[in-house]
Amino acid sequence: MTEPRRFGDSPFGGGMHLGDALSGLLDGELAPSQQDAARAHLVGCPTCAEELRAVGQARDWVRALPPVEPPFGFYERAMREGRRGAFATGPSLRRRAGLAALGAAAAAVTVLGVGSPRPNPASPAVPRLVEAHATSASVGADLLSKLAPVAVPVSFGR
Amino acid sequence: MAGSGVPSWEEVARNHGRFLYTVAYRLTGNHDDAQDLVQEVLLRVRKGLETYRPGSLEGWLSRITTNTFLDETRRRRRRPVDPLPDEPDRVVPPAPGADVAAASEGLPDDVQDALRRLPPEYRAAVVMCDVVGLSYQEISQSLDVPVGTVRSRIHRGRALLRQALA
Amino acid sequence: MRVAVTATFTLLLTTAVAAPAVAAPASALDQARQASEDTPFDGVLDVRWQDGGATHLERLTVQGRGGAMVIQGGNQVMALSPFERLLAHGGQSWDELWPSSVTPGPRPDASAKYQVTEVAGGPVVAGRTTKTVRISQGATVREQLYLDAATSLMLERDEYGEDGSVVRAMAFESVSLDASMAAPAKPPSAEHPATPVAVRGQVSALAPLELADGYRRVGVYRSGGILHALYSDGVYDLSVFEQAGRLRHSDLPGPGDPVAVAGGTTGWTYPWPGGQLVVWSTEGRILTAVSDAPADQLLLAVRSLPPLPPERPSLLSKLKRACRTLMEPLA
Repeated sequence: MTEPRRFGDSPFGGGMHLGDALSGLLDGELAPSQQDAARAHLVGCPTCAEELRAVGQARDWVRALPPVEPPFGFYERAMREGRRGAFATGPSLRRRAGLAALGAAAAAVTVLGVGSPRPNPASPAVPRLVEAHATSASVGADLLSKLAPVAVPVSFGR
Repeated sequence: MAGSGVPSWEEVARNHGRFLYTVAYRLTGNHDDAQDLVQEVLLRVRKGLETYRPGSLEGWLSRITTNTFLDETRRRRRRPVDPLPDEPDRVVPPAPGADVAAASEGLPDDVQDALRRLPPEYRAAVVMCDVVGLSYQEISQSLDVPVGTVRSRIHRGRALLRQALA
Repeated sequence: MRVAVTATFTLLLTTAVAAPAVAAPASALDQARQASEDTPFDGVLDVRWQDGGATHLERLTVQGRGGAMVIQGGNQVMALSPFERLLAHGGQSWDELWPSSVTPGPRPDASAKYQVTEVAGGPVVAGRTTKTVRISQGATVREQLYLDAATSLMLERDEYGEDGSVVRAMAFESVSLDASMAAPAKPPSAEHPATPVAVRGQVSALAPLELADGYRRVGVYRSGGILHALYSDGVYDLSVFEQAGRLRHSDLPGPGDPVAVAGGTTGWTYPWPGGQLVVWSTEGRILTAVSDAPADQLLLAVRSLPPLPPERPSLLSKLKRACRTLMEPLA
């Protein structure tokens, strides 16, 4: 095993290893002279080479994270509230709902069950809907190609 | 957006909603807090609390988002915490061998979970660098810390992530 | 039993003899449709479809007798008449999914949208000589059918994606046209879990008479609390299912791909073995569009649905919602 070379008079100071300069190297944030020194050090230092590989992997993982979709209707709701000026004063929509509930809970209990409620969360039974589509579409159409896919149980990778 | 003028909060919501939500979610790690954070960002934009300099709109938004996130995190801390180990000679734990690395493939949920467990300041730096794609200089200006600190936080954040996912 | 078989066979013969008396099929497509009802066959059918980067293959056994058909895979499907459809999940009991009492209206004429042409020659499929029928829309070839040269029975159907590669295919691995087995009998104990009923008159704003890209409504049905509008363009069919509720991410059937749908809302799209589907939510309604059409047509059609007026929650419902929010941490 090669002994790590001294790095004493490098642009990175007196340490033995490259440390956070490794991330600087990965991100293209080192000056050309620093890059050269870092690369030269890596040739003879398996510790730094291994650390470079590890932080490089973490960097790749975070960069590969997909975009996140906001929940359905989130911005539409936010814009409606915002136009009314509702979120210009006080806590967020979500937290405000909780605070309102604290005040209103006692009164509301007596009136629950009256009026038209907001729709509850519901799960579309997607595999059943697929079957309903295929069976209805097969009536009066090419029976085999419309119906055969229903013989394959639908799963969506969960 | 309307030329170099300050974008309205509605423009932000309509045209950059997904970007903003992604940054908020990566910082907070859950939908509830992400929604609150986005709401707070829209409020700051609406009130004109943040100076807008013509340039990268997404850079500007991510600066507001990250600072709002860090403000909120600090506000929630009930007791002083240990200062962050920004000093450069703190040893980064050794990485596991290649066979171990092959077993953990950096699945998005696992990565997000590990991200959520990073100290907020590290998380902010990593998100700004690797999710938003800002330079160290831009991150340094956004967070008002030296470039060397940015580099150190990013590096330590990555090392901790790698360790958590080993 | 023997008597029954003979009787069925006689019936099949009668049907076969009677077939030429039916008005001459207008196109190669109609010939194929007709052949799948008239031609007795036994075979093994391979269904292939793309899901992300992966290709799935499912091998099914298929029997067709005089308008009735049995398809056996992980599920078993029966078409008992031109109308009635039964389905058994795995080895479980039979459900009647589509009763003979509900029939969609006639499909639109496909020639308005597609060019259906016979191409000289075709490959040998399952040991049989074929002729090729190509369905194109403008310059885009949507699919090619390989029909049995002797009977016009469809032996292979290849559907193409936007880049010209096959995204879905159905092909006989082996087939025998010397049918000697009995026609399927209706199982004695079919259940009727949510029998659809046809809806007439005033229906939802989300079931307009026409959708973009030539899809016309051929029927509207209600089953349980779900409204089902069936559309067709003459070749492909498209269903829009509407139900009340708010959609949560955890309700979605899997990761899916986000797509923009009507009114700038985000929906999630998934491939299924026979096509593509989209799930989204707007103004307190959950919508699921399922189709065997190419994905681009499905999206065009879905984006042409009219927007709903904004939901206006009452004060009471706001209170109830606030209470729910309060209770959530305690649940």
